[in-house]
Amino acid sequence: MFELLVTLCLSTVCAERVLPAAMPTDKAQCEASMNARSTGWVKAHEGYRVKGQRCVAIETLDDRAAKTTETSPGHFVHEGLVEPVGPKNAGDIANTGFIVGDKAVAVIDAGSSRKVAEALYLAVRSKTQLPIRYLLLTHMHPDHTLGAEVFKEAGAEIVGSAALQQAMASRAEAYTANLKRLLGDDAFHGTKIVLSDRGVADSETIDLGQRELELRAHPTAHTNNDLTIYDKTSSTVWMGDLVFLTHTPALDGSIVGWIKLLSELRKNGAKHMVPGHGPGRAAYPDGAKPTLGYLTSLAQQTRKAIKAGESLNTALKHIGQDLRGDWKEFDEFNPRNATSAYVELEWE
Amino acid sequence: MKHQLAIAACATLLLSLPAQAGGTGQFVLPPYATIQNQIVAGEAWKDLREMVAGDAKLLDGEEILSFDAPVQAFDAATVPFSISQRSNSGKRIAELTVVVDDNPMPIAAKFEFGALMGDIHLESRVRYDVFSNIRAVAKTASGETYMVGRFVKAAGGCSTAVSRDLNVALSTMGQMKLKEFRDPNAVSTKAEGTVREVQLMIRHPNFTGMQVKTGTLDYIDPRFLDKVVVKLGDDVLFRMTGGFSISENPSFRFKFKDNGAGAITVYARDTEGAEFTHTFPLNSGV
Repeated sequence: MFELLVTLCLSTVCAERVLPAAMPTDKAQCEASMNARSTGWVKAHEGYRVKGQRCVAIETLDDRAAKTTETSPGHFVHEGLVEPVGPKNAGDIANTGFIVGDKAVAVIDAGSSRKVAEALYLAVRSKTQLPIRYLLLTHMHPDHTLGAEVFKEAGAEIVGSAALQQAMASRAEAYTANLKRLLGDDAFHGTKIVLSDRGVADSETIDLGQRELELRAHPTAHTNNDLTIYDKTSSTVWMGDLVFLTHTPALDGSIVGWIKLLSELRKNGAKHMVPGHGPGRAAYPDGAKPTLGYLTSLAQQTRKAIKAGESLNTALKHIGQDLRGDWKEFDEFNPRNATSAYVELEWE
Repeated sequence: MKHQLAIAACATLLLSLPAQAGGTGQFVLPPYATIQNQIVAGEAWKDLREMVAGDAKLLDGEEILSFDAPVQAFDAATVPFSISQRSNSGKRIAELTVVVDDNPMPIAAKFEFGALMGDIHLESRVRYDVFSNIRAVAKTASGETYMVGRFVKAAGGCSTAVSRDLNVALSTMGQMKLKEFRDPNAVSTKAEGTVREVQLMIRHPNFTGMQVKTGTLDYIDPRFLDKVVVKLGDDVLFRMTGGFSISENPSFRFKFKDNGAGAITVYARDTEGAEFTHTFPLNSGV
């Protein structure tokens, strides 16, 4: 099968990008459709122009495909890097992956940029030609969502929590501006935020063909739009950023809600989980313990500071500082978590 | 994980100015120790100065106030600052304007203080759009103008979507809470003139107009508290005229001298004309 690579230019920045088709194409199909596809893409992306295009056999694109591990048959995980978003990593910092059934594929999360999402798309296409029917988004944050358009182009329906669409829409501009600044023009090239097509209010089962995924939306925890995905076949739950390992947890929802959710993780028969950051596989439900431990201590310290009458400014200087342990990116995330926890808990 | 995104990738503007002595010119330990984030010169202030202080001479505010704002804030939508008047300043501050120079709406709030506020102790929180100075311009009852400021590294806070959940923010708008802080070592007293400390919290999204509506690229219209009046009995503690640079769920922590009235009444109004009034009986000293 063949993929279409198009050199796209925006102002003086040019880069070759992969433009997926809704169904895999052979060489003749790829070449027959390439003009329409590249023209269509440019029309939908203001300011871009086509400089060149070619159809390339998927087998030759291995070095561009994301590295994935098949942790269980048909269950692939790509481990993001535990480091800040930057030009060099193009924002490849979140765990993503895909699950293959008999009839279709579901991709989980899309990375921070078109570049990262294209790599994941190529990883899918190097394993299977089945249609990518779903892109499942675990929550709104840009390191998990900004590459989504690639999968939309590949024909996927974008599904998230029912609260996802509004949450992303209201942050779209800020996310876009921030990511562009952090990634730089080259790594950000071609990235355009798209919103979810449909939301899950409570729970829903989707079928990939002899493989059912149970989607579950949660009350406000890490964010107000967290979604978990349970693949019974591999006995694995995709936790999104409800679970962090290695990378300091980031609070953008409700510390009370998050603690409650992790304290009550359902014994649903699952054995494994995929955390949003850090190692791509952990035990279910024990993999949540470090996150829960951090949040519980943070909440305790915050409540204590509030009770002692400490102002936000005073409390921020010490809350959580002794929880550093082996967490990475701690100095950046802990003070922000402390702020979030304080402004939530001061209303108790 | 938007937080790391909120931190500008700008080159770090590390301000390693030495601590300054308190205007005495002598080499003595200043009363306010090291200031890590002294104010920096900037274009925006040139225009703002006249608006805020007219042609008044700006005296060094460090002499009568201590001002605390973080060197760097990781949540640019919630940047805390506090102003504390030195007990021996001998001045009565009648007005105080808080300015975030480089915000789209730089004047965050103007406070007019009643006599019961005594030495001013005030804490609140502001949004930060880009790295900027924050300054407090204080006018005394005797007509002098003092200025004090800090430079804070924080960015993106004005376009940050309000709240974790917009629907909750809208449905709880106008709720208020008043917290009293009691010094556990102080003898409980009803005596008039006793200094008390409270925190007034008001639920309001304080929309900046830079946030985007659901499923569209339309902006949510700005809607923020533009007037807050806090009274102790019949005496005004302060009036605030505010802008959207004040953070969501505005919070004001302050001290005042008790007049024995026994209750604080708060009136708040937003730019849509919605009015919120609450009366809080005081427990301190009872």
